[in-house]
Amino acid sequence: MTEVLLQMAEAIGYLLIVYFILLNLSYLIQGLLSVHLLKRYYQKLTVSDMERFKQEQDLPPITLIIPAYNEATTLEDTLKNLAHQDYPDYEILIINDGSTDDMLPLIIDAYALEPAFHINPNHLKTAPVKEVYRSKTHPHIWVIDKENRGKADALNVALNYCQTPFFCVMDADTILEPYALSRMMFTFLTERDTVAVGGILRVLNGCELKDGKIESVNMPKNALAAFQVLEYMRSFLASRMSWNLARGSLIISGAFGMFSHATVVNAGGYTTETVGEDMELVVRLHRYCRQKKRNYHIRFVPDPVAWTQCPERLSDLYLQRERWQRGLVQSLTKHLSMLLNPRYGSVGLLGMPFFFFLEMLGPSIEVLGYLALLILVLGGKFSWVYGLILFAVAFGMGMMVSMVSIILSELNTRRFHGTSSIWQLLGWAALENLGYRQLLSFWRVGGTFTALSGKTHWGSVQRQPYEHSESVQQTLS
Amino acid sequence: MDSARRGFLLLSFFSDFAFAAPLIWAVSFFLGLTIVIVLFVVIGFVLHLRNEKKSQHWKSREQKWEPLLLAIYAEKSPLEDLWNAVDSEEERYFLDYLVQQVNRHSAPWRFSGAYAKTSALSAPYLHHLYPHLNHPNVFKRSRAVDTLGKLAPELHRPHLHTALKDTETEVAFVAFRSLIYHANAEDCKLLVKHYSRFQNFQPAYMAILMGHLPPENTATALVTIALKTQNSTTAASKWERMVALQTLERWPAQSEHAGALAALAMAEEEKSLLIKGLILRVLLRWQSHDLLKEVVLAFAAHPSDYLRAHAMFSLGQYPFARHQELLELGLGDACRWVSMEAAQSLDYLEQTHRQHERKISCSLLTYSQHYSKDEVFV
Repeated sequence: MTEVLLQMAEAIGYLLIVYFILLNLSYLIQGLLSVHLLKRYYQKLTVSDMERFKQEQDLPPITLIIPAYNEATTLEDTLKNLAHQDYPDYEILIINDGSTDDMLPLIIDAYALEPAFHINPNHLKTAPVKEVYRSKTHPHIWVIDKENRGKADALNVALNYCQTPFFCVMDADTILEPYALSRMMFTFLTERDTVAVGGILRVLNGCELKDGKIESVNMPKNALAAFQVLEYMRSFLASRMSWNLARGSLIISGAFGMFSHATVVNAGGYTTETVGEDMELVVRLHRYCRQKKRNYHIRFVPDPVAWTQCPERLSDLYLQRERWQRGLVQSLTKHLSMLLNPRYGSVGLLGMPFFFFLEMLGPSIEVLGYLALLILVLGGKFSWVYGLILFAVAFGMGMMVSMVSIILSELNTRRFHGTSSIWQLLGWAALENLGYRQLLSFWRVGGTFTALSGKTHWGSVQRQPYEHSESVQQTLS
Repeated sequence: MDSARRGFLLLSFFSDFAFAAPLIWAVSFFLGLTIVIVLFVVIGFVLHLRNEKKSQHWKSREQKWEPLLLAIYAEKSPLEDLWNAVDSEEERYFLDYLVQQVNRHSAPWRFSGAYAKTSALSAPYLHHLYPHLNHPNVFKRSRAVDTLGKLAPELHRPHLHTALKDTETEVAFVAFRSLIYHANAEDCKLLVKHYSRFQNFQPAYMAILMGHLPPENTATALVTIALKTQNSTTAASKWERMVALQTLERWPAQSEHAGALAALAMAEEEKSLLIKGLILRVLLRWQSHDLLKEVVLAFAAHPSDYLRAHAMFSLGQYPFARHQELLELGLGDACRWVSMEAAQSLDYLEQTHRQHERKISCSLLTYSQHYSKDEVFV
């Protein structure tokens, strides 16, 4: 019996090595491809005359949708930041998803909101709307107060009320660069078949804000936030950029993405059956467009930077990651028929397998592998050769991926200030393998189980007020 | 005997090696990875330092040139003062600096005296770009075209015309955009001839750009394109026609063409309702009231929701104020988009301070996107 267990542990141990090699190798290839793509993107941008683009008359109007639940801490600052957008024609639709804090009265007061009439052209099924408000002082700001039924439902309410051909979804704790909307729209207008564009998300913690704009990009002091800086860099710069090449990107972050209204509504809007409504929508858009035999692009643009707060407490991080994993599992299992299905082209043959086997099943393989290691050590069967190889493929190749991300961040416009940030990033890249990574894997395995049990509850993450630079704090006080 | 002994020793060496092989492989793999990681770290740092150095150089050049440029704009110093401050190795950067000045300013600035000075400042250095116009690298070609187009388009028309025919759409588009803001009669002809190659763009955006062309040189050609129905043997693609109509919509009335367009909107052989809707928008913009009335009333009773929505929007315009009963009927239309247009038009007519010309409603734009099969934005 013990012998069988040890043999099984040995087999799982080898599977763990194969998993790490495949995972890190695919990230590495993606990262190296992104170096070329990023360079090419900035070359194109150099000759795109964005200044003139923004000044053109009659650019398509955009609706900026902000679903908000208990966002009293950050929403007002977020709205102040949006005033800096250089896009000429946009309105803001805030959906109050039955908040229990004082967010609504605060916004009513700050923006002189009053009940208004707003016609809704679409009719996706949603929870009842209680009241529609419009700002007297800022007529482009609308607030829709509705009963609480989750983010996806709030987004569907917004889609019902949205009257513009393009809409942008962002989180209430997200800060956009002033050029974000114009750059996203430029992609839609210069690539006719574009149905969705995702922007890069960077970690706001540690950065300084001045007059609603990012003043300097710094590493956060909090260790958890610092690990997440690296994760975001890897995920957005190295991974998502390269999916442009295969036209198979399966995710546009719910914190910042722009969509063609018609395509999303025709595809059925957001689903309330999953907590990963952002990913599920993108997978469904692929499915919808492929089934309709439409030419389409789902793009990732590395330049329109959105800055978002990441959790700094373990409990908040747990809630977030468990939910992300649940969303991933729910989205992928819902569209399982696309997996390895040539009918869906690169999405079915590349995107789905990558997310299914490496992103979704990966954490379970990793945790099983750690258990197997423990069994091998206890059973006296642990070999140092095996240990060394495992260390090299997990730690060494992981470091390589992180380094490629750091290189990519140097090719990006919003770089870190000073060399010390690079040293810090290097340090965190080494440290994340010693506990942080394993912890995330355990949480994600938990997320896989809760997803299979059908749980769709969100959980609430505690928000931090934004860090203002000294001069602004003086002005505010 | 010796050879047998040597063979045995060799065998035993290999069997020892085979035993130690996994460890050797593991150590080699580990060392190899370490070397690659160190290499990546070095690349990261070199890149960071290079970026820092580049940005410092750029800042110092800006600090050197900025006051001189401002003095030239204020006509306090001659151009030579700035030329003297440009070292020979800085000439290419100086061109970039001047392009940056052009990029920073609004569109009207590009027709100002300051722009003329910026253009004059670039003259002695533009020769650096000529070899790049034929460079195999697409970016170098498009950048050279962009710089010439921004700093001295009038002087480089032949170059821009050649670039318009470049095999790469990216280069051709930069030339197209450069010409469109300074187009003369010859340019207009060329641009109308070549715009169809940019079908990857949304028609509405193309029309925004084409709208900068002088109508007197272009309107007739665009109307001709718009009038070609899909079934004709010389059919222009629907995309081209959409661009033509949306460009016409941006211009003041070209009354001599209104009749032909109105006739097409009513004609049965025109199958595209998107085109019909666009024609209505053109006639609205041109305020061709008599023709418009006929088309709007026909569309108000049309079986297509899409055309009824356009009619409801049009009924909210000034000349139709007395057709409120149609709008009230529209309020009860089975199609939500139609009733929404009717409601907005009624609301608009009730406003006391309404503008003479009403901007196209967002909802109508959105409905057009929903209606078009490939969900284009028109």
